[in-house]
Amino acid sequence: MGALAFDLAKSRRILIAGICAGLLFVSIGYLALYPSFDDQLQAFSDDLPDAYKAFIGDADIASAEGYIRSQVYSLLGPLLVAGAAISAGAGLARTERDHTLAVFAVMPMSRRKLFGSWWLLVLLVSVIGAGAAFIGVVIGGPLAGASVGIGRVALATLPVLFFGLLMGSIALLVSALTGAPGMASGVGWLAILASFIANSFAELIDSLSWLSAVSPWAWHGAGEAITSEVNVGGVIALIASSVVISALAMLTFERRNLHL
Amino acid sequence: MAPTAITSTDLTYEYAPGVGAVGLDLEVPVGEVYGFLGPNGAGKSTAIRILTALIRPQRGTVSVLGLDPWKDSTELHGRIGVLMSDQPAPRHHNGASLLTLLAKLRSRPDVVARGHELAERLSLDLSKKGHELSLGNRQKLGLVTALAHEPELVILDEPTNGLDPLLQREIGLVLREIVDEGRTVLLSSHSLHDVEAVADNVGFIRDAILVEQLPLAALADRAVRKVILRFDAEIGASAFDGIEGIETIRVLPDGEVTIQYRGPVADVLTRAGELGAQTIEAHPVELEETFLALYRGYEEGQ
Repeated sequence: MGALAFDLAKSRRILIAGICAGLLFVSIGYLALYPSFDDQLQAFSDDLPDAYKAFIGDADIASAEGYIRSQVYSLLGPLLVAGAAISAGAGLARTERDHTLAVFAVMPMSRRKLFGSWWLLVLLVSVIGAGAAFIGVVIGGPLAGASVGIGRVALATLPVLFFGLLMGSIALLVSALTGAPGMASGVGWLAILASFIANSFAELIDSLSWLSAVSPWAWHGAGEAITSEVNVGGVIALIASSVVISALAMLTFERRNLHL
Repeated sequence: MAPTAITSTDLTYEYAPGVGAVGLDLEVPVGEVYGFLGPNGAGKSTAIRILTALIRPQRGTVSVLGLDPWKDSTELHGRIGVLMSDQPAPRHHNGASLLTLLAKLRSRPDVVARGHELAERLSLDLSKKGHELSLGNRQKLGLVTALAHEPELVILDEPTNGLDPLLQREIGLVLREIVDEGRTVLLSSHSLHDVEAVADNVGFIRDAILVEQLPLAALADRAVRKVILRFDAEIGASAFDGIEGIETIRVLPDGEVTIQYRGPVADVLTRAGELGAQTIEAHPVELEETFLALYRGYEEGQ
C-alpha cells in the first residue's frame, strides 16, 4: 500500500512542488514585506468593511500576527492545500477513466488497500502542503516582526492539514462513487466554496451564525492559534468528518464494479 | 474429468438486454490454451472483468483456480496475470520502473529479471515512458507485466492488437511454453486467426451468449471442406446423390464440379473415381470460414 502511495506521490511531484512553492512564496515573500507597510495597514484595516474582515477571518491585519493569519491561513493556505488534496483524490477516478487503474486493480492487494494507497496520497499531499505553510511561517514570521513560537505555528497549521484531508476525502468519495474525475474535482471545489460562503454569512449575519457550526471553513479557524487558542472543536470536527467520509469512500470503492 | 482452471455456470452480467455476458457456462481445462472468441462487443471483456474480480456477476457461479474471484480476489490476483483490452501504460513510468513497482506490489523481486528477459524476447525498449509507447509497444509492456510473475493462469484480452505477424508468432510460442509448464492461458480475440495456431479449445461468444465450446480439432472436423473435380464431360449433380455430408455442388459445362462437404472425403472420392474423374483438387480447411459459418448458423437459428 505504501509503495503504491509513494509511487502515486512521485507521479504528482510537479503538482506537489508547485503547491509547496506557492505556499512558501506566500508565506515568506508576503510576510517579509510586512515591515515596509505596517503603518499604512493600520489605517487601511480601520477602513475595511466588515464583510472583507470576515473574508480574511477577522484577523487584525495591523499586527504582524494578524497579517500572518490573513495572508497564510485565512484563504491561500487552506485553498492551496485543499486544492492539491482534491487533485490527489480525483486522481483515483482519473486512473479509472484512463484505464491505468487496470494495472493496479489486478495486483494481489485488496480493494481496501488499493483505495488506501490513494487515501495515503491525499494525506501525504495535505501533510506536505501544510508542512510548506508551516516552514514558510516559521521563516517568514520573524521577517514580519511577529513573535510566534514554533508550537503556535504548528497548532495554527494543523487544522489546514485536516481541512485538506477533508476536502481530499470528499473528492475520493466522489471518485469512488462515480469514477468521474471532473465530478470529483468539481464537488471538492464546490465543497470549499460552499463552506467558505457559509462561513462568511455566519460572520456577517447574526441569524445565520449557526452556519459556522457546519462549515469546514470555520472549523479550520484561519490560523487562530497564532493570535489566540486553537479551535479544538473545529479540529475534531475536521478529523471526524474526514474519517467518516473516507470510510464511506472506501466501502463504496470496495463494492463498486470497475469497468476497466 | 480433467481439472479446470475456470468453471462457470450461468455466469451473467448484463449492461442492457443482450449486452454483456449472459448465462456463460465456461470450462477452461488446466494446462491448455483456451481461445475465447467473438466479435467486438460480444461480451468477452465483460466475462474477463468478472473472472478478474473487477466486476461482480449479477447471476451465476464462477470458480477461477478454485477460488471465488470476488471473495478471494487478493489471493487470485497473486496467481493470475492479466492483460486487459487496450490496456494503457502508466504515463509517468517507463517499462523498467513499472516492473520494479510491480515486483514490490507482488513481493516478487524476480519479476524484474523475468520481465527484462521477456522484454528482450519481444523487442521492447523498457526505457521509454508510457506516453511514448506506440499501441504495439503498450501491448508488449502489458504482456510483459502480465507474464513476468509466471502466473498459474494467464488471461489476455486481445493481446495481439497492434502487433506485427512476427511478434504474434513469438507470443504464440511464449503461450505454448506456458502451457507446456502446466499453466493455463485464456486468450480472448475477435479473430480465429489469432488463436488457431495456439489454442487447444475454443469458445465462441456472440451477443453475450456462449454459442459453442469445443476442442479446436473438433472445429476442424466440423469445417466445410472443398474439393474440385474435373471430368472429360459435364457431369450432373445428381451423380453424387446419396453421399452424406455434401453441402453444395456446383457443376460447370466444361466438366468441372466443385463440392463443399463436411466429414470424411472417402465417399466423394470413391464416387468421383467411379465416374472417371481426371483430376482432384483438394483445398485446405479454412477455420475462419467455419468460424463465420458457425456465427451465421447461430444467427439463422435465432
